[in-house]
Amino acid sequence: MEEFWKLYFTQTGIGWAMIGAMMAVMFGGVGSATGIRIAGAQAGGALSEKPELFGKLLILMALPGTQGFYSFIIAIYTASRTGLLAGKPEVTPLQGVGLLFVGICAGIVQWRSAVYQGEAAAAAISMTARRPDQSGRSILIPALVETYAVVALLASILFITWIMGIKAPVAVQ
Amino acid sequence: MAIDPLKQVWLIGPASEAEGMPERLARVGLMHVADVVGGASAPQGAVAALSADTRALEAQIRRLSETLDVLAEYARAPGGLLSNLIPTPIETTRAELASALDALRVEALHAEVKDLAARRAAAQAARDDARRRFASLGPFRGLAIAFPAEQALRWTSSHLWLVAPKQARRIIERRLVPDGVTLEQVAVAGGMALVASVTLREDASEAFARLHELGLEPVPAPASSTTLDAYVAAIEAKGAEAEKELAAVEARLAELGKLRHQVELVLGHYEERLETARAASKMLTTGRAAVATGYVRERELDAFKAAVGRELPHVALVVEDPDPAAPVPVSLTNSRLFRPAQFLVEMFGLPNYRAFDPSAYLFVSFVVFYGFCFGDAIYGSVQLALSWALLRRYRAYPGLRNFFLLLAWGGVSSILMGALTGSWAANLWEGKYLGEGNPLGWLARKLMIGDPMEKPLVVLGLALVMGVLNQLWGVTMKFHGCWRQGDWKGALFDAGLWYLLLPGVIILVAAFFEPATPGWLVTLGKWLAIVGAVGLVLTQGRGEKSLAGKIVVGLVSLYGIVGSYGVLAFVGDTLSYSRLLALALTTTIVGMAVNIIGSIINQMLGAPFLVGVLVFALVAIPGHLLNLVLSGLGAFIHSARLIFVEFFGRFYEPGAERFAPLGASSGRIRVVD
Repeated sequence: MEEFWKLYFTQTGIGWAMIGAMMAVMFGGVGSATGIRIAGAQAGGALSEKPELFGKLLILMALPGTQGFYSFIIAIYTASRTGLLAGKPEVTPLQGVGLLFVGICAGIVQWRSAVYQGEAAAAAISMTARRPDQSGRSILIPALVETYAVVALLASILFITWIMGIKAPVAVQ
Repeated sequence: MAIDPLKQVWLIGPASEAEGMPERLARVGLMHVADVVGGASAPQGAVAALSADTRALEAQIRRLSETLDVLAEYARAPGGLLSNLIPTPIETTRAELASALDALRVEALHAEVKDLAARRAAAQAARDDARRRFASLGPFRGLAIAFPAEQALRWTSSHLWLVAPKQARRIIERRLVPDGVTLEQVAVAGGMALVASVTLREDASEAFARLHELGLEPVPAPASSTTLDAYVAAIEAKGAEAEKELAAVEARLAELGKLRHQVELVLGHYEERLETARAASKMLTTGRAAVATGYVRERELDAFKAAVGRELPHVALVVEDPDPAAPVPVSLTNSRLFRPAQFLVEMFGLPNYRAFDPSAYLFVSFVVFYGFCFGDAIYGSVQLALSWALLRRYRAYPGLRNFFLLLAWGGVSSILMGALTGSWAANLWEGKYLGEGNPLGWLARKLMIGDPMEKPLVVLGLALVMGVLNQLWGVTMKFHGCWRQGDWKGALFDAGLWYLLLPGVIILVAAFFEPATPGWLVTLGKWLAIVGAVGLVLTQGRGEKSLAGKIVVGLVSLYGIVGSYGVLAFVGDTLSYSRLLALALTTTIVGMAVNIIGSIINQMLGAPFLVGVLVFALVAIPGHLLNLVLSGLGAFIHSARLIFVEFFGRFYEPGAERFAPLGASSGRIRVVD
């Protein structure tokens, strides 16, 4: 156990980085699943009345799925920048802890934004069910929520790049 | 590839023609009927909407729908699973429809079905009640104790109760019963205790409530005094009677279920008639003349004129160009190549009549995105074959035909992408599955240019480049749309300036990640971004009156809150294309997992070669089919989303009404002769 701790968490930071990457995936995945459930439940009600709207509602139901993909990209980018993907991990404990925080924070934004997007998609589904001719406009309502998931993805990519660019550990006085 | 040019037509005839006009126009089947007054205000005075009493038709449709709802439970729609998944109109002939209309007694059938449905509900309730009561009292059968009716005793009131034995003991031992109530346990069976209570009649209701509060469940008293044994036997008999009634009702409903087809045909016929009758309310009559208006495709105008001359010989026809302010319906006609993409445009919403049809401009993007997400040569081949078979089957239905054609193109794209990335049912071609030197492995290695699993960041970069290109393509569409409507300011300022700013931003972002970017390129990017940004700030607020308003709106538009676009929207929309990588990897990884599971099970069984192949196939084929369906669905949804949100968001405004000629389609039935 001690060897494991040393190998992954004190001599290198790859353990922290991996936890961070998987936290991002976990939060994003849970959020997307929840968001799709919220939108799907609303769509189910609308489709029981108007089954001909299936095509229009399918996209609205799928919108909150994006955050799961963004989280996946964060994990892949982390794995790539730490060298894990190439089988030669090179990450200091300090960098690892930094990546852990990036993963957790980005994951939380992905999670919550997916849930909120699911709620917005449910509202858009109601709008489409009442006014099918407005389906094009209604899709923009939940799409706006996604902006902040994109901001979190962007910030994650930048921070992962910056953290992995740190050449030497910061000296502790 | 375009929005069909339409002509507005006016039909003016004597009032005597008014009544038959809607039905005759439905027979012509070429005119989309529009409101004569444009929905602006109700006609006044001597001018009135052509009245059509639709109540009788609506009542008939309600009866048929209710009948169909019940009968559908006893007679499945013909055509099997595929027809249930992809509902299409029922094909019929004029003779069959006439025969159904003649044979079906709608009111009598509806009354009988309604009565049977009510009897079925009552019998089900009685059966369930008897089952529930027998479940609790059945174990006490054989007990010949007296069970008096509610009013049988003069001075006292007696009840039987069911309760858990432990609770019965607790109540009796701790004397929890109210004063004046005698409680005695009669028997224990089936995990429940039967207890009897006796109280004075005047205290009965209070005692009843108190015992109920203590958790005792009352056994409903019989109508006349009896024994418990007889009471249970009566419950059993009631249950059997309800079962018998239910079986008889269901047998009759199953017999009536044979009429389902006829009911659907007649319902479709009445729905068409209702549509025609409703079209009448859009026409006007003055007492002397009747007026109708609507739209006809320009290419069908001659045929329409000839048909009107034949069907409505006393009616004058005036043809003109559509009013620029009127909400003109839209009909799309595309070339054979781009027709599949029309399915996506119709799914999202039709463009304004004076805008343009984007089908041709999104076709390539969609097919490439689909192939990128689904990229597997074997999956693509299966999809192509299935789509082709379904395309042949549903050739007569334009919407389904376009859908399956789109899937077929997606299959072709997936084959290409799969071949380039070495994905053939994921890594099935590897030696550990099909043996070293297998021909599939040779082919896969020969065609593969790179493996996304090994270089995901390269594929991510490719996905983002596709995103940038598609975004700029969207801006081009904006330019195109403004230009063809004569809005040169919109074309240059709302679209053209982004062509300076966005490439500038792209160069600066690339320089951030790649420090080796040449200095001259960074300088160029900087100047492009500055000129574009200043131009946008100065022009995006041009609709505002005050100088401050112009500047504020101009600045805010750079961010993306107002105006047609924004830097943040561009960055966000471009990053959204990263899903292409995620979906591509998902398809491959799930496929690899299926192969690994098949191989592990095979090794565990240690079966001889031929049996091993069979075992592997039994595991791998369903697994790959599942992956094919799920990944195909994901690829379709997310490719469509990239078109609808990220691409259409730049330039497209849907919302036009579909061109729907009166009498041309009913949705439920299709007369084929």
